[in-house]
Amino acid sequence: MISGLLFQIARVFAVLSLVSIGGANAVLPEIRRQIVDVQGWMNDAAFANLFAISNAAPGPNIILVSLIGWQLAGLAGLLVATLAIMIPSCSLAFVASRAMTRWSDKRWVGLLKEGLVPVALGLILASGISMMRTADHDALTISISVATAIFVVFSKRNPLWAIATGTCVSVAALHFGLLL
Amino acid sequence: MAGRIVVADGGDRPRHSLDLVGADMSGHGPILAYFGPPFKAGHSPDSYAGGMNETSNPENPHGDGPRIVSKRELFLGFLKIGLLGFGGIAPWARHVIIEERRWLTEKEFAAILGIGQILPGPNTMNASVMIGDRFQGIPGVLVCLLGQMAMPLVIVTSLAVVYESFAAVPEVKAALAGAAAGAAGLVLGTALKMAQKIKPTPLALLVGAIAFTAIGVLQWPLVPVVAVLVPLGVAAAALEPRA
Repeated sequence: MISGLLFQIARVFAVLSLVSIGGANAVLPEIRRQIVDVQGWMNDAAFANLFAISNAAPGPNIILVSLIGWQLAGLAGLLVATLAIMIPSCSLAFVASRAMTRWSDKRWVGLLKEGLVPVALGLILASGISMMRTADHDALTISISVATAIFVVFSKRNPLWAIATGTCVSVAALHFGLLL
Repeated sequence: MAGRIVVADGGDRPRHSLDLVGADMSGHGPILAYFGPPFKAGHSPDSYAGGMNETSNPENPHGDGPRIVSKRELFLGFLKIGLLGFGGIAPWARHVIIEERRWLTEKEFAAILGIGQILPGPNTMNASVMIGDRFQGIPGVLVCLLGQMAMPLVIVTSLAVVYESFAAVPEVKAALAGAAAGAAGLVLGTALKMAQKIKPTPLALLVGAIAFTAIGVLQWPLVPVVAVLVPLGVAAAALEPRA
């Protein structure tokens, strides 16, 4: 029985891995649809819980998938889900890496890399804004986001200082009733 | 020319210096003899078109040749990136790789992230595959992936165990809200800092602004936007080559 479940986990996430252009956040609705609607592995509330937990942990966003595997089938589920979501996309990245190196003296490779730079910059900026849209719901959280961004732009220090300060400010604000 | 960083790594990497650096660090054997495509006759750094070579790079003290990064350094670097990687790992990857360890220039990193973006999978994970492959071949890829996943997996499962008892505590909620707001600002600041350092040409700036507006403001779907913008970015690079 358990091996059947593991096989299903592997199949679902390996397919998701190959379509996940934009990372786990881009395919989040599809992950939810597969887990909740198609496979019926858990209900919406349980899925939302796992999403919240994975957001509170550091690391690549696909640890949500690892956590789903853990929830469904323990350690074996964790490993199978993690490998299934990683191996297909990482293999493609590896092939791309070799291709770029092999044809690195071709003009089009240089132009492609050069052309991707502004696209990547615009998309990172966009993901910052969409994260702010989710995380910032009052003047305090907006200030924390803006102050952190300013710190990152003007300081070479570890951004952890800014994150830790923001976290402390948020807890302190709760204590002193400063929630604006 | 002496200060040139060679981006197009692989075949033309000096093996002897790789071994000298790597030998005491990671105890590798002859397995390092081949990783990367075969050496190409006549491939010199100068033949690499596209302006990705930074002719002078004040940020990188190792400007006297290709930067060598051992497997141990890769593992520890990505372990740190994974451990710090709150709210996504891209800003932390940039901090560790560019500011702290200077493995790549700002622009190389942005280009690799861009390639990672158009492939399926998380962009930073794809970038780490390419970074691992560039410096240490397949073993490098594996240590980068293992490094970035190890701590997050331990932490996320631990959190899952204690979540029920802590999720309702107001202080925990406030701390998570503060950290999430900080993480959003971190991503925003990282993008601005990269743009500031890379100094895009006006056309490239326009492409970046369109990407930001389409995804960040209008919230259009990613795949078609990227499909349109990549050719535009390439056209911008071709029309306005960097000096």
